[in-house]
Amino acid sequence: MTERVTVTVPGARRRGPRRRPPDEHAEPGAARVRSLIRAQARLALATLTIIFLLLAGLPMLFACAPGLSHVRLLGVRLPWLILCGGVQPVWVVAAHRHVRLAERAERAFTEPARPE
Amino acid sequence: MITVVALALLIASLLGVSARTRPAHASDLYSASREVSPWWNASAISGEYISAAAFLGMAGLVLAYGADMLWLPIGAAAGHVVLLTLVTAPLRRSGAYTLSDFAAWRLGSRTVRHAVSTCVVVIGWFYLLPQFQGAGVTLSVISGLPVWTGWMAVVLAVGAVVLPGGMRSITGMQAVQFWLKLIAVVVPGLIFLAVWRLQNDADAARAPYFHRPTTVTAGTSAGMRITAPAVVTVRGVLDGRRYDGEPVRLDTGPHRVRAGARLRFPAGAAVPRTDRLALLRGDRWATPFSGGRNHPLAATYSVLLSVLLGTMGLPHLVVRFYSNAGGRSARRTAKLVVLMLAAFYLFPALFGTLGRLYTPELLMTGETDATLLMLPHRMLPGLSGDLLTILVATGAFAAFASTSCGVVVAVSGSIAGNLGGGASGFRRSALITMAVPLLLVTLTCVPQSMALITLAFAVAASSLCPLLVLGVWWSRLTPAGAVAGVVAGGGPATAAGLTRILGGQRAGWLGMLIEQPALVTVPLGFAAMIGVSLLTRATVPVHTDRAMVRMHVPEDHR
Repeated sequence: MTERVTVTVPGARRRGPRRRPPDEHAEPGAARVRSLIRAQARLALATLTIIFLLLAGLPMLFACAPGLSHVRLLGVRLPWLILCGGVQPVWVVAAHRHVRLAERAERAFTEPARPE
Repeated sequence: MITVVALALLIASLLGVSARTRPAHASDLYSASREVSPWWNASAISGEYISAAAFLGMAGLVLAYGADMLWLPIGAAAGHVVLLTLVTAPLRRSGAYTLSDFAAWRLGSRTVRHAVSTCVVVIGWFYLLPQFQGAGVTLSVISGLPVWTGWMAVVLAVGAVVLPGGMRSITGMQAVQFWLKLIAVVVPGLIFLAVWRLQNDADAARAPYFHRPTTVTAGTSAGMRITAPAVVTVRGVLDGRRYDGEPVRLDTGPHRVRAGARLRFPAGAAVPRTDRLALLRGDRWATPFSGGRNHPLAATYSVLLSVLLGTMGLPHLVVRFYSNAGGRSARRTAKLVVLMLAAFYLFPALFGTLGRLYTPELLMTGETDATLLMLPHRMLPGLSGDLLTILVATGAFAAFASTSCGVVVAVSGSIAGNLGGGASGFRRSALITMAVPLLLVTLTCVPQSMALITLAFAVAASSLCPLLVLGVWWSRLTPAGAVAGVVAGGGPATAAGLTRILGGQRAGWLGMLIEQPALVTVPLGFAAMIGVSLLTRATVPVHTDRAMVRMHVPEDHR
């Protein structure tokens, strides 16, 4: 059996008031944590936008311009060329870029700006 | 052929056994698991992800439906990018092992835990069904054994690995299996490409025809429509008459074969149309959205949405990130998974295209999952073909075994946590997990494993995806909202999946939504989760802020 770590949170079942006093465990400062989460969310949205644009746009393109499907490049029909070889590299690059930027955001959070 | 199957089974099981007989105590596994490097863990995740449906089913779908199916591999790889951006690092930092653990920890509620576990079980069933289906077809096509022997092979393999070993799931074995599967597509892929170029440069977009003399065995009694007259050697009952190897001239029009009849078509004969699959010819096969499917553009969007968002809700993938040292290495692992899957997915389209030329009779019998297994012999008769068949069959069995084991372990781990009862509870849950898909596989009338697996993705995308995304990024999620969303999204998706499996085919929009429900059920799940959470504001869990910090702040800085 894999050892499971049960994460218990004291007072989890208690219904608390909606506005609670600042959490003493949230050491790094609530405002800074919020800005980190917001920065990461913005990054995620940017990467997701690339994915959604491509995945929504390509089917629309082929549906609206059926003529494209008969264009041949290097002897292969355009949709086959794009769908088999053209899109996956975009995902790899998008994933790589996202990881780099997310780690940068985390570094900016853990290494506070030095006093000038 | 039987010897080939036996050899492949032997190799696959030897690999599995040698990796599993190492003693692993729970604590040993626990400490060792924290040292798994991103590269190794990414191999393991890709190994568990590439199931029978991806390994065999994708090529079969391209063979049958052509360009419309090229979206699936793209969506599948993109799903892992979505998983990376939204879920991996926060989920790893939460410290939860399964999705049920995550839900219980984030929302502090047993009801949420039960709802999530139910979803996990349903997804596991829908995911195992195509593994059984694929194994049955594979074994019957290459060896002539009845389909249920394939199902039993998977059940026995999973039982042998999972029941005595409990929750052990060893990263090394899954990682080795990924590389095995990759070699099993890359090597044949490159060889086939060379042979295809050398032998002829026929265009796969032509109407399907028999490239060389081919014997087709009718698995069931079926009607077929001959589109061009051909002289066929028949052994068995055709159009009500028994033949014993005489040549028969088949005229254009409908004919009927009885189960067991063997028809030998000459080279150059057009492949007859059958009731099982609508044959797409020429351009309609090679261009997107022209195959005459039901609302093709909307269906494509729907299936893309389900694989895109459903990937994060696959129970057996998510637990794997637990083996990473922390959020940062989990993220790097997810990035490598995208790269590995992109490499793997270069090949199914090639196999489907070649299948059109070399194994067109699969379009008649509907057993398109067997494309990749039939190709080596068709393209390279003789020893080299035998060797390639062994390689491909080994990869296929690795795919059945690794995905099935991963799913059974993850699902029964989830329900065992709810049922309690330790090791015997785990064994009971593992049996339940396997019994239901085994029952469903006898009832299903969908022949393609890939069509079945998208059902699992649709349920995951409509129930667990909203829970994960909102749980990670939205601090106002409440337990009531979570349950409402899981039920409102997962319920209809499950109902649609069952309808599809049991044969409810309809025309029009309703039919499209039964096949691919995600377009409606995903927004439904999100809307219910957000709406009910806003209505029950007072019940936001007290520890939410602390949970958000834990998920988003790097470990070394908490």
